[in-house]
Amino acid sequence: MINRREFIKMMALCGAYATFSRSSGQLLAAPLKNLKREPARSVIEIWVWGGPSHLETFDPKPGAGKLYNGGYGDIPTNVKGIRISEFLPKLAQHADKYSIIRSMCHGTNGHETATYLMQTGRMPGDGITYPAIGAVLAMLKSKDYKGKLPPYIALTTNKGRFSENGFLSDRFKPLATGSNPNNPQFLVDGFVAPGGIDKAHLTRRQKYAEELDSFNRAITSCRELRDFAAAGQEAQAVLTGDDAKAFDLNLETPAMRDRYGRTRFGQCCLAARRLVEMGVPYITINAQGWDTHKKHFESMQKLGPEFDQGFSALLEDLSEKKLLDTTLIWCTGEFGRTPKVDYNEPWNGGRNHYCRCFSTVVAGGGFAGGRVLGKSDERGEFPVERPVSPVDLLWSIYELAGIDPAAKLPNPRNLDLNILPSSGSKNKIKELYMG
Amino acid sequence: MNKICLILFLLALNVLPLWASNYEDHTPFDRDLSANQRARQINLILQEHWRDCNLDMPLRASDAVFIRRVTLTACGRLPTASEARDFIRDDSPDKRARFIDRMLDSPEYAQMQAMRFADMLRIKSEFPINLWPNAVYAYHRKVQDDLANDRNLVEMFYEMLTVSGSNFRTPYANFFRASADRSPEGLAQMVLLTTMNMRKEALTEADFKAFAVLFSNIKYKSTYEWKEEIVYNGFEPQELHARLPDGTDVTLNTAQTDPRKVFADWLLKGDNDFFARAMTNKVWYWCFGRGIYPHADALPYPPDTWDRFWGCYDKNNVPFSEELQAYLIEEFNRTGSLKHLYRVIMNSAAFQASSLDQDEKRLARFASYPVRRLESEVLIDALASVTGGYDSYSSVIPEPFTFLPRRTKAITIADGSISTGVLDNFGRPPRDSGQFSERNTASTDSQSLYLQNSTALYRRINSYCGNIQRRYRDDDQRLEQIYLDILSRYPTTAERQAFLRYKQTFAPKKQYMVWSDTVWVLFNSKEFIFYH
Repeated sequence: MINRREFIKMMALCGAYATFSRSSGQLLAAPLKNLKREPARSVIEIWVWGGPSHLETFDPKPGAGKLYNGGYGDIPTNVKGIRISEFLPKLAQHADKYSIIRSMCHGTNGHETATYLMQTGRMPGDGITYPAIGAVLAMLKSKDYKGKLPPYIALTTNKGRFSENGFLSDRFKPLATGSNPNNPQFLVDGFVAPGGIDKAHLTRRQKYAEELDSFNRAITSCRELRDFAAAGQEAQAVLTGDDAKAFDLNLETPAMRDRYGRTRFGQCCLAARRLVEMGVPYITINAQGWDTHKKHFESMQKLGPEFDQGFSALLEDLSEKKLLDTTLIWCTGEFGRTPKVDYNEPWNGGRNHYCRCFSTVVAGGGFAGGRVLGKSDERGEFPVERPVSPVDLLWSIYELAGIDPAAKLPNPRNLDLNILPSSGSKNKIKELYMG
Repeated sequence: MNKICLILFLLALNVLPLWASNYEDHTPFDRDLSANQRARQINLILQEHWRDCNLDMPLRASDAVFIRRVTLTACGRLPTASEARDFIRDDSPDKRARFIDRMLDSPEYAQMQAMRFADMLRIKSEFPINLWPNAVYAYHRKVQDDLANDRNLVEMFYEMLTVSGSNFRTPYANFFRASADRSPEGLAQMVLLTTMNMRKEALTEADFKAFAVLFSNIKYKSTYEWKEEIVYNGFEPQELHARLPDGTDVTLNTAQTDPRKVFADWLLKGDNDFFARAMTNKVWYWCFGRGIYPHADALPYPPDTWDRFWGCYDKNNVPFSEELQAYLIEEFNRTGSLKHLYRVIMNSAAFQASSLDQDEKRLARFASYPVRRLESEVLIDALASVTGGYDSYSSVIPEPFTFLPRRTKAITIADGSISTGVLDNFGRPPRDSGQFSERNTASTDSQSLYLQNSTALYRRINSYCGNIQRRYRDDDQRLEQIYLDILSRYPTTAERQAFLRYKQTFAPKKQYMVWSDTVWVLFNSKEFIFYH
């Protein structure tokens, strides 16, 4: 692991490199006020937990030999000049809707630290746990969000690596839905009422509850008890309102469900679209099973098609519903996988963690489609053009979501902190902004 | 005032022989006498304090409230129905003191305290502490064993602060690993917080820097064993100039002296109360949900030397009663025993005060018992123990995966990284910094959604109601059992009547639903959700 100072040095180098490789005009950051378009209303994060191999997704290397590409090649897309892995034929048909960053890099190969870095834009070590971008956006955007569902929803589990709300209030912790959207009923515990109880019964039971509440009549009022009662009423509003129907995937036609693929990942994408329609500001899909140390290519046979179908259906569906302009999607792992395949025992064709070069995909919400930013070398081992750091990426996401990342981050501990370290402003991925 | 104390004390001593005969009937061991005496001492201090503040003396909480409060605080669980029944029916005058002793001697006491210590010591596998599973279990096990044996806390912390060795084989070597920041300043900050409940801001910047020098020679090295790490005092001889938190300058050679030892000797064997003050404040906090100081995570520099630091001195953060603080410190210094502190506090009039008057003036002086939501783990365990339906706990990070045995209680989960959505929802602390404030006991909408509407919980309620209906034939017995199981008390007449009325609203074939509704109502009641 690199330490903080080395990291800052690396960031500085990335910045310097970018200065030389681009025309100076591009370096002028547009202040947020001048952002010409409506900020993205919702963000969908597709978190490919474990680290996807960039060679089998968005940065194929057909010429690098079997030791690197395992014998798998690339295919053309609907955008001239962009080719992606043969594992993703459906996504190849929608390359005009997303852009690829092929030169993501950072310096840490451990899941937990890399996840933290990619989610917060900071290296650990100063004794503060920063909140993930989802929690920050949920907090800053919840002013405009009037829905009854929590502002940050994770499908279906949390990342589990660190406490994503950091030092922010627990309100901005993601709601992990649990259950599996591919089940006959997507049972989000608490939001889907247990069967067999009608509205009249609910009212009667509520009255009974008041009658039995002798303790409440005996005790004087205080803040804790009032908060509890208020929370109970909010919960009632969710139950009797329509918001929780976002989780009822059976309200979609079977054809629509098939389009996303009858897999956990596919149906998560469908649920994400329904949550976007409800106006939920931040939705994370935590894809599972990508930490393919062993038998990587065998695993890809299953992972690839699921991912391909779910993600492409999401892009197509959002764009048909005219929601892609206001919905920002970013899709990444915490890092990529070692370009050189390890054919030895016990890996048998595995790929390990690799942070020096990997790919990230962005779409919608102000990001243009059909572009490629940066370039990796002929084996996918190092960026050779326009290296992009986690801070640069996060900076752009914040900006397009209408949040100035240089602003102060309000927090209950009154720490004097900015949303992101200022290094991101110089090197943000402006080339991928629309217009 | 002292004279009055003395007279009262002598009177109390005179009464003792009268009690003795009654007492001998219950247990052959002589320990209750001293417990009673000490309860009188702490109560004298509290009563004088309340009188000085013009507060009415608190009413004593009822037996049912008391037994629930003690069992939850000491053992993190609800009393069983039979414990509650027996206790309420018991007429002996010393039954409260005896019940406290029983709870403090039960194995669950060590489990609950180990959870509190693990929060304080930040015991977790993952980010940002990264102890990793093997070390987590070694560390947690050792803490729990020591607490079960009521090992002297001074000894325990001396070992933590000075021991060298492998994180697997010498569990307390993990003390200096469990920090998000392992720089000397990061470790110094962690040590200040953990052993003195102080923030680094309590010292001037220069003093803090000089203090951190004491932790600059701690080294870590890995071995061929996965995630094994040796913690030790660096071999390179160097001369260090450091300053202890009380301002004493020390110069030492690391080849002859382990700097950690200089600090441990000062903190734990020296003539100061930093450690005792922190520990008494912690136990008080664990008993009441608030500390002797209002800011329990940030104790000020001790008032007796505050003139030296008076710029940092916070008038709003002083002990609510200096006398009580001094008394508890004295008791702690005399015994070094965590159990003893609990025993003294639980026998006090403050801990046994009624909670019905939640006036902030009274609460600030502990003349009323403060209500607050049960801790996440305790609440989830309470739901599980009543219904018999436990959640399962596992971790798929890192490999090899961890699966805890079925029916594991949440308070016994060693690893702070192993959690569930439900536990997080109710504010389980992330164990990142070890502060009290990491644990959130606020009420939120999503908690209410779980309590009111969870299908998983609803299924458990139904299976529990099935058992109740099979086990007891008559409605009155059933209702009584449910109340004892959930609220540790008998239903009142009004409640029995409300139940009967509600039952009538169901069609005869649907009357079984009255049970699940009643249990649902009680689970959603403040009386169940809150410490009171």
